[in-house]
Amino acid sequence: MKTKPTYVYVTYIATTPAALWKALTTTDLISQYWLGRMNISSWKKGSILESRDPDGELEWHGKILESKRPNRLVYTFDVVGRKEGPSRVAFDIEKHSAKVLKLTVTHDKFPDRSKIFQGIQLGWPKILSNLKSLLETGQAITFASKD
Amino acid sequence: MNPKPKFVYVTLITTTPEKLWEALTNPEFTAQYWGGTRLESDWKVGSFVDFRWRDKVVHHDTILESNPPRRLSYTFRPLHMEELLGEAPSRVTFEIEEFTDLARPEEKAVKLTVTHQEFAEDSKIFPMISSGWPHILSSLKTLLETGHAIVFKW
Repeated sequence: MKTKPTYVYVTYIATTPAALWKALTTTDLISQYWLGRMNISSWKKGSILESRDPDGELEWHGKILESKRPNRLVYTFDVVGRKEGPSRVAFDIEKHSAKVLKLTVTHDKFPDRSKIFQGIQLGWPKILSNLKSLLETGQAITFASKD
Repeated sequence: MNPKPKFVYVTLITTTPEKLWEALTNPEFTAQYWGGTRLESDWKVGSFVDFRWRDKVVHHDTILESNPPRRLSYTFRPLHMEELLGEAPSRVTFEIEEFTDLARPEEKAVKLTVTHQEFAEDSKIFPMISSGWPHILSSLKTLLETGHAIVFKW
């Protein structure tokens, strides 16, 4: 039985669900931890999401499928210039204690033999590690190169 | 054919390889982020590493590789739950890589890759460690970056 590739990343962050939701849905904050990218959307269900690189080029776009502040955000992930169809990204935010939450990122619905699936394996740990650092220390790692 | 279970976790930490190695091998540090567990060893290949939790030795594993501050590997076999004693030891490997392409040259950052493998297909330990490692590694990152580990409610 072949199973479609699924990527799951769990991290615990010393922050509140409200602060994390804000970091996930505010373009200025996103560019600080998402490797310089700007993700732009109204974040309402059904609306478009665009992700532009530091030069303003559109890299990927998606549609908001679910937006349940502050616990669940789901959107499609469609890379510009690739033949593969869109995959799906889900952020699930659960409170662990008064000061700590659990963030689970699930990136799935990739086609079989997806090339994009290979590419996201290092992208997500970089982005999510940076998100955690930004929320806990006020600063994220800035890489010199665009990637 | 089911592939053998393998757990891989990658995290980036604003620290140096030396400080991360210290945090992985000094029991005063491990106790802070590893749920109170002291990892005690001389960290030489072939030596034992004892996991001490509330004065009980809950692991008595063997160091397989030790290249400070880049690569550390040891066997993994919990001793404190009878229903798990039938499983053969698995293997944990920590790989530490330093980033050199940072925009701010005074900044330090490393990539830590933890690979936990050599489980049987029906391993009961595998789902436990898959849940445990994100707790431990998240707390380790917070300790190195803020000075305080995350303390979990169990």
